Amino acid sequence: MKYQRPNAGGLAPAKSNRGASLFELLLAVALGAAMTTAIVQLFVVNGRSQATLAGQARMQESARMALDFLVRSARGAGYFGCAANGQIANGLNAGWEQLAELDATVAVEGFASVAEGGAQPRLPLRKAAGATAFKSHNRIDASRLRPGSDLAVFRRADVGSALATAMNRDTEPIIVADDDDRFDRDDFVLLSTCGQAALFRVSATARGSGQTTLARATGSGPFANRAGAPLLTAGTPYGAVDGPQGAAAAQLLTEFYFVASSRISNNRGDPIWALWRKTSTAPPAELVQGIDELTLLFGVDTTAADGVDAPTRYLDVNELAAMPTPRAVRMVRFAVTASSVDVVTADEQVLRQTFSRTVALRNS
Amino acid sequence: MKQLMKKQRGIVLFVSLALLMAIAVGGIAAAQVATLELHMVRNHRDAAMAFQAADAALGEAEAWLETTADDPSPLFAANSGGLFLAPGYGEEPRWRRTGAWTSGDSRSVVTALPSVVQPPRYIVEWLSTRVEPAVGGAPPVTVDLFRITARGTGVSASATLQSTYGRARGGAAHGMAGRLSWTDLGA
Repeated sequence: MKYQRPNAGGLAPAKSNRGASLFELLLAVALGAAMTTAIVQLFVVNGRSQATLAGQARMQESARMALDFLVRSARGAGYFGCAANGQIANGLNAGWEQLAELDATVAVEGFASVAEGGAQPRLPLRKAAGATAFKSHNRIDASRLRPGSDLAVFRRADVGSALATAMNRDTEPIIVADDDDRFDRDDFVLLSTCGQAALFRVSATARGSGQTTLARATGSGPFANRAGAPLLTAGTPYGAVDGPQGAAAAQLLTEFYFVASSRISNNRGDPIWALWRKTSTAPPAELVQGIDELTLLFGVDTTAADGVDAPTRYLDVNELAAMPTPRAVRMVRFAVTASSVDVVTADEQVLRQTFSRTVALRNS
Repeated sequence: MKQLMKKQRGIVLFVSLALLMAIAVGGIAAAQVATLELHMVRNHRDAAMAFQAADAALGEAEAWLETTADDPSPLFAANSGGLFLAPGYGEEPRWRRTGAWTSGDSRSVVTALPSVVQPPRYIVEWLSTRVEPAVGGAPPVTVDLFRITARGTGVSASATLQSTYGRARGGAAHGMAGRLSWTDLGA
């Protein structure tokens, strides 16, 4: 098809092209504006709902991570080799009540987070009177704790190493059947067999040919080995009665979980909260960002003598602290409030939701 | 072609293509985030299933031990098939040895566990026999101590749990009878 230009034929352009009328122009502009607004709106709404969904996903993920850490620690709490926590001898100078990082007599504990300067003698807190910590700079900073949130403590022995020879007398060395770097100087090790266990500090190690010898020199200071402290408290040798595999040496793990201010801030520059963990004598480490609160409930068997191992009452941290030890804690209920960290909703809010889980303790 | 392009006016096609592209990029990104989340949740469920399977195997092994004869010697005499005597000083525990979980060196659970990828397995090591002295008028009690290691496997995760279990001969009541400890050895 042959196309003819409208102004072909030498006519003046102004005469043949009459152009759009004002009405047409206005209509076109109005329609265009309406369309553009609709499209822009679509993008804005789409982007916002995507941000909200991402925030929701982040919140759920944080809660899942935090609960996984807590649940794993709670389940394993109270594992001290084959011994129970009432059978553990303290080989150090200070009493158990001063050794919050190593107190193997209490497997599960909870504390209410307190304002700065408040005394919490059973926690290695900075700026608190009477708090003992192996390394003073590795304490928990009380001023950064989230007010109103709880602090959970779980204690257990790590995966142990079997002994390379039996330890028949207190004067004999402790020789484990591992020559990797599992044990080191200044580690706190729990030596256990069925019905008997003891905590000591490794003063030196000697490795070679599949074995490591753990020395336990005595010294002064709360965290040094006490002179004359027996490890064979029940008179039972380690490794002889229950066979070569019955006794083990393992690091003592104490895990302190708490909510404190995070090192990062959100997309508005506001400070956020995070779940922190301090493991034994190490410094606290930030685990999960966007955890705003941790609340604990302890299922305690107040009628432990009846032979039924079920909790009869659920107590909060203050009620548990008021209960005399030993307490028969059978279950722990965690309520974790997670946030989306960033401002994600249409009305400029941070999303928050509380997730909870209840676990049975396996070693109580 | 050059002539054809010259004859075209307007940018409707380009504008709409560009818009479509932008929307598609946004959509694909969202879908990818959703897929990633889905994978994470699936892995989490897988790990939880492996853990529960291993815990079930521990329970079954303990219940089975209670049904066996008082003297464990005949059962453990062969020192194979998942029932072992305690390894000696300096020897690797049975559950840590290579091939312990794949060959006939471990036992599979009998109870059917639906929706578990493969049945969990366990290894029993007979640690010792203790003769607990008489208390009061009661006669001495003989307690056999066992270490049970159970392993549950999922699609991409596994869980290994261990318990020490005491069994008093003759079904006598004793503080060392029953589960003495439980621990999670990880993957």
